[in-house]
Amino acid sequence: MSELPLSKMRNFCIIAHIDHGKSTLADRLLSMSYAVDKRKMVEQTMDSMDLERERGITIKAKAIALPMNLNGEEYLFNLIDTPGHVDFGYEVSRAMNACEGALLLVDATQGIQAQTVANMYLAIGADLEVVPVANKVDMVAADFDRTCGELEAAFGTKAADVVQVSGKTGLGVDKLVEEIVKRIPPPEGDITKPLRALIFDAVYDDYRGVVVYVRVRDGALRAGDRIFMIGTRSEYDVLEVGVVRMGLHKQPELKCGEVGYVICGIKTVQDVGVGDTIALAKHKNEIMPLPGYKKPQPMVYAGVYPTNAAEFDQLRKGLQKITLSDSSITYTPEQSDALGSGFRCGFLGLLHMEIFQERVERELGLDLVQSAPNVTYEIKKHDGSIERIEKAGDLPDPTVYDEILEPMVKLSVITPTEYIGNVMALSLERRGLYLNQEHLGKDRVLLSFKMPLAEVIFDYFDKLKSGTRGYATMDYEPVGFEAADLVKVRIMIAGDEVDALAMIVHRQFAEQRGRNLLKKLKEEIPKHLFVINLQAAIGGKVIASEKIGSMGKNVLAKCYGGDITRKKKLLEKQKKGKKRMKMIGGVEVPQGAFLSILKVGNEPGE
Amino acid sequence: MASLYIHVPFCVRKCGYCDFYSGVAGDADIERYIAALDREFALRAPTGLAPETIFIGGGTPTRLSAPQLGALGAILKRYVDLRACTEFTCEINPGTLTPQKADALVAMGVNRASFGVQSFEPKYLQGLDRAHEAGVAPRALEIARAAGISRLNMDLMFAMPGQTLAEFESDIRQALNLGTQHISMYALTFEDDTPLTRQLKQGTIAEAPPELEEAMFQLAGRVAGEAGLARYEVSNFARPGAECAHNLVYWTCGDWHGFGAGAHGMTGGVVTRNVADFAAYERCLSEGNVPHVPDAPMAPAERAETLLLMGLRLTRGVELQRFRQFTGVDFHVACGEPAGRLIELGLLELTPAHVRATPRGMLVLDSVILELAMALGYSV
Ligand SMILES: Nc1nc2c(ncn2[C@@H]2O[C@H](COP(=O)(O)OP(=O)(O)O)[C@@H](O)[C@H]2O)c(=O)[nH]1
Ligand code: SF4
Ligand SMILES: [Mg+2]
Repeated sequence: MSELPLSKMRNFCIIAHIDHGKSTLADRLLSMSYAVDKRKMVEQTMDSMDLERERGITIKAKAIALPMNLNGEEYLFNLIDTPGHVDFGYEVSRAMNACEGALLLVDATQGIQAQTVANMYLAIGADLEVVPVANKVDMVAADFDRTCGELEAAFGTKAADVVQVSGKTGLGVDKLVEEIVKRIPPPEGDITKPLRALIFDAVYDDYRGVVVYVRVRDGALRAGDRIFMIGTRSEYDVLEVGVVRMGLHKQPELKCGEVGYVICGIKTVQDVGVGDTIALAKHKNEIMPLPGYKKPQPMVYAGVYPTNAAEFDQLRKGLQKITLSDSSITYTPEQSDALGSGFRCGFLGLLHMEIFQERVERELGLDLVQSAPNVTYEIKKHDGSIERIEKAGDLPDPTVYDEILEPMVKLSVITPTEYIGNVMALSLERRGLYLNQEHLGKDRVLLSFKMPLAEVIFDYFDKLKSGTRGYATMDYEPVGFEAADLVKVRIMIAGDEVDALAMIVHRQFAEQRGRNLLKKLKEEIPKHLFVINLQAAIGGKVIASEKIGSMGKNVLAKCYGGDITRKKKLLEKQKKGKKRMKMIGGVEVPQGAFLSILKVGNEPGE
Repeated sequence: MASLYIHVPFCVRKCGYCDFYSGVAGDADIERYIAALDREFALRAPTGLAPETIFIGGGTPTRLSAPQLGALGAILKRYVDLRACTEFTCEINPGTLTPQKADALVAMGVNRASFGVQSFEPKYLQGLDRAHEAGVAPRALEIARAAGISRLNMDLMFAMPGQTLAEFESDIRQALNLGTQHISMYALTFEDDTPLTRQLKQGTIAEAPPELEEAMFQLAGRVAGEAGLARYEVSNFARPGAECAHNLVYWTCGDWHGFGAGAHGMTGGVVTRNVADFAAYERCLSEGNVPHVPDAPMAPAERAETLLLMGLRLTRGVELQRFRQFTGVDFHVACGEPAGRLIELGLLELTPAHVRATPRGMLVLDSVILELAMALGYSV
């Protein structure tokens, strides 16, 4: 396919709110392109990890080459699959930089949602030609006119430009292919210039090592080239280049404008920077990198500990394995007074963290205790230096610093107008600053706020959903750090301070949250043979306390000769259950207790 | 010599809370079962047994007719030497005892009867789906006494859905008034896969509130105690000297042989289990095979756990010397650390010769045992 002229190529991605049908449409295009062997085509080919298929979320962007025939002419589409979720925003923008165009897919039964808007802004930022597509028009509930109205209100799109399709039935997809060819410009590039290729993804493969996805901007990339990655300052020999079809297809070279893969003996994706630029090693001192490369910073941190201390080594090996294929997870060893040896792991967001947890359970089969997640803080010391605080337990005494800063986000919420009041109340109560509102058609509105990230990760999403009967959607993007009046709330269980339960909270909410957390702990920690005191304190001052009463009657009524075997089995099960608990000051604390911080709000009785 | 347990897995009807190996059967089945028991004795005890205690349990042994009991007695005559036997108990469903059956039991050698009374309140008997009616218990006791059985136990149940503290107290007093030397009082347990548990899940009945159950447990001790029947095990109360010698064998991990389908035995700390299925039991015997599977011999830690989980149920506790003899280790070495904590919490106490649960420890005994077992840490 490589002999096709650039004018016959189209590089694009599909952007959509989750479940609006991106994977289904991608599969539809794929099956049109190839006389696909249906048996081999796993349902939703673009989402290849099991986990992704289950969650219906595309975690890792990949690219696939789709030869297309339109009116007797050969074309090559490079479809780049982008993750749909806010946690992976940076990766989305990198993937977009590999494209000239985007299909903005909107479920016509749902209308525009928060991630539709967020993705659209990213696409505009990446200078893409956007083809708006109303999907699922096969459904009775589809409302094309209303969807067009919303697109117009939000982005100024004209109804005449919106393509109607059903990814599921294939309706309108032929027309869409025509529109792609007509509207999305072919790639440009100068083959005579020295090589510059954008890395937009990297995937770990058990057999091939790391497969790096690139978009060649200038020049050409050939097997045998000695290359240099500008951002990570590392050199490699290119073993193979090619394009991805139903598998990897080796080619002698990738020319400017083309999208494909590079294999060059990289062992882990940690060594690859998404957004980095590949150049030829001989040019390493003169070439300018492509703009926009940055190492994604984890937004959310949590401590991860083996339940059984003897499994620390297995956990370390497991983390190594998982980060082979997910470079955005960071981990550093840490020691917790309460939990022993473990790792502090950084994630792009809460969803990213949940995916990680599932992978650990599934792929490593380890029992873990995870501390409640928190955001990163910064403290400004007296000498003006800035220090990052990755967990509440590390926050020093207030006398040591001038101010403490927290990460802020711009939060966008789309909601039916009738719930504006609820969304406002919830967001303002979470220290949100109202920015503006924009009407989408007559009954929906886009509200934006500036809000501390800590307040967003703190069950905001659940509250938003319940306050809008499930109708609202949200998205957020980081907008830097701001100073705030934050204090550390310390938690004591049976007199022992539990660093993993400490939290950094706005002073205004400290007492209420402390009290609410103790209530949750009281629910989570089972009754013991003795009374357990729970306390929350700021500095040395106790702000809340609770008691867990001792256990009531617990004795088997009958135990005779014939019951011994059964009773021993029961005991063995109880022993296993007990081993899964963490011992803190003689108290057995279940894993759920460490996550309970997440579930406490600011309101009394929550 | 080792004690003897004989299982009779037949009942008049299945009780709502029961998960024992038992069922309803006709006379033909019962007679085949007796024949199978005969073969089991012939196979396992060709030269006979001389137990110190015997217990016939079920099921409902008195589901057997007088002639069937006679047939069972004939087997025992052939294989069991009663001269060393000081206690021979038979479980009795009050509704099924007749003077003829009582005579058959006495002829067999029975000198102690254990009545499954459960309650004197008709509504609770119905609630439990028990086969007998409330009024029959006094009559059954009279029959037993008339036949010459003077050592009597009554089983009562408490914490039944809807039962009040006063109703339970009335049950205890009625039992005591019938002149029994021994009472067992069991908190109703919801076992998996029983009709009662299904009702609970459907919400048609509700469990007794935990505080009420605890109050009943305490009440049992007080009322029986005042009448001179002291708690000697979690659920068992007796006048001094009237404790059930057979059950004490279980609680001290002594030796006993179990005969009949589903019966367990233990010899030198090794548990044996007969298949809990009549057909398989019968087939096995007809092929000339012993119908049981011995468990693997227990490691010292497992033996310790077994002894503690049985022995701490006794108010007198576990004899430290017995612990050493049964497990090969010293109690202080095996469980010193958790025992220390439990003693500090006032749940366990050490006397020169025993380790035992305090009254408060008895109430939460399963958790106390679990704490000790954690220190032993074996895995089956
Ligand atoms: N009726 C109908 N359902 C669709 C269509 N496209 C996708 N779906 C369904 O919508 C759900 C989400 O689709 P998926 O492709 O996984 O969405 P993604 O999250 O954007 O990748 C799935 O249940 C699809 O079967 C369509 O055109 N019509
Ligand atoms: S009589 Fe005893 S063994 Fe038979 S069903 Fe009732 S409780 Fe179970
Ligand atoms: Mg998808």
